[in-house]
Amino acid sequence: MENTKEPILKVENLCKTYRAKTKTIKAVNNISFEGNKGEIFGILGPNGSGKTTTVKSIATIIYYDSGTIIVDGYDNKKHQNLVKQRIGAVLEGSRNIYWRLTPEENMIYFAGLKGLSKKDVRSNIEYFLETLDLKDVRNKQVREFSKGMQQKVAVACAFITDPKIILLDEPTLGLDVETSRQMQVWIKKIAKEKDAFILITSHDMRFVENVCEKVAIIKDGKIIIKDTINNLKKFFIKKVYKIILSEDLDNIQKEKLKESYVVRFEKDKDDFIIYLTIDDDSFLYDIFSILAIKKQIIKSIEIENDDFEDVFLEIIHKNGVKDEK
Amino acid sequence: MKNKPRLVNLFIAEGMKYWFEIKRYFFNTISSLLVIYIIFLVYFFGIKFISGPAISTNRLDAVIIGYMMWMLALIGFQGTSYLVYDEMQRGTFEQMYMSSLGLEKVFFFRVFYDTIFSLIFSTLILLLTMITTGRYFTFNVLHFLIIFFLSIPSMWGLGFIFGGIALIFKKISSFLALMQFVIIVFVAVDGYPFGLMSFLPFAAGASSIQHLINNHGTFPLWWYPFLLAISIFYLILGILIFRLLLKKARKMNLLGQY
Repeated sequence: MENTKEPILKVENLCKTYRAKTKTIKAVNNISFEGNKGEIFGILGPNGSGKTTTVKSIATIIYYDSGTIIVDGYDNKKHQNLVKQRIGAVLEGSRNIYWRLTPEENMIYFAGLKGLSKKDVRSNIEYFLETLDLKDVRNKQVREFSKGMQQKVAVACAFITDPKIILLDEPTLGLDVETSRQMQVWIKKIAKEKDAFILITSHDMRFVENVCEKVAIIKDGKIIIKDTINNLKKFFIKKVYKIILSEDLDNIQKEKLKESYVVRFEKDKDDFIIYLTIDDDSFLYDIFSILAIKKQIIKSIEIENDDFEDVFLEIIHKNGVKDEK
Repeated sequence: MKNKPRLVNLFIAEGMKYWFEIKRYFFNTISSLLVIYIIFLVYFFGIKFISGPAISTNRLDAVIIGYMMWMLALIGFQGTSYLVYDEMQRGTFEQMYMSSLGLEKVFFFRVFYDTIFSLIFSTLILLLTMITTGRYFTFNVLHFLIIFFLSIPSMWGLGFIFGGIALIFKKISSFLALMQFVIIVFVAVDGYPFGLMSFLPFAAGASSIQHLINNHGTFPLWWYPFLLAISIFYLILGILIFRLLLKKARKMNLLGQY
């Protein structure tokens, strides 16, 4: 079912090339995607794939070469200030907040940068201090905080004016596992309660898998695939069957399996193990018929699933394999 | 958020941040004020000691006022140029750029607070020095403020130009330090009475203030719009060049890189 309402973010044919003295790098090559309110969208890709350039182009920080970015109906090249009013961002590699100020002072200052007063954002300040567990440290300077706490303050500052779009560039970078997991919960909660479109770039597959509904995977500045996490898993996750036999297969059986499947044979003490990677359980009957030739006894069958990280790596390496299906 | 963005809220937020940072960098603030106090004392006692009784009182006053003018001009200049450098080093420049009211307005308010703070504290220190030494200047404070505020925006304009350069060329701190000496020239040349030198940024204003304090001088009526015109010229030039360099920095993705 197509979404009939106007998207809050529309990126169309975005292109950006960096020109240095010695080389030219096409950082973003014809990228298009859309985002709606209340949605969490992930952009995944290896280093240098164009994730940050895309995010910064949306935020008006980078002047892109061609294409259009429409934020809440406004072209971000023509109406920069109106677009900035509608965007909050936590940028990768930047400090993002002022370390000599307290979380509360930072939030008030960031509201001021968007022309809003302390009174305007009073309820939001209380909401974020409560939601992000910052109440006890509301009057402490941010420089005394851990990296995770500082990142929480940065997220609160990005959300403080209730922007329609939030850009989170590598929000879990440098965070420990526990804080990263807490961040998942907070972001999902805030996205739901504030009804904003959240765009996340990350290397943390588990984070993206747990937080985002849709993702775009980009490589060399191009979107290779764009779909829901569930669909990507459905299309790309493969099962690895570990079949333990009491006797080894003969060469004919092995060749037959090798012809059709990704297969690996191992011997463990008295057991002969076959590792079979397949994406459709119906192929099992075919495999059993091959095993039936010599009637080896099957001692056990175990199934191991790929995780989303494996899916990502497969897509990156195969580059567009979904279209071939 | 349903409330409309208002410029006054940015002005208040900048003031709040400025005050908190002054308080939090307390040692730094106190030590820089102390340095100004010592420099004033050195001027009062030191120059007399070195030059002997031969130095005229007027000459000594001119040196002290000249120093104060240089300091205020420098703060006006650094308010925008050093601000870019500082925010980029802190890693907060991109967030400042994201202000929906426009980057220049953020700069204006910062430089405004910088100027006001410097003006108040350098005046207080000058007063303290006068009490310490027993030597007093008498001048029309309102007249001084009018000339000062009519002419200082030219230094803000110059600061915008160098702020723009700092966006592109990151290792600019030595060059900004060098500009202190260039600004001495602007303060030291004879910008008043009217001449070619009057067209240099802040030169006419600094000379006028010297004339006002040392000679209790007055100015023709056209002189005030002239001071304003020079300021507007440099300010517009500065903003235009800054915008041009900002666009170039955005094309090259330099805003967040240090």
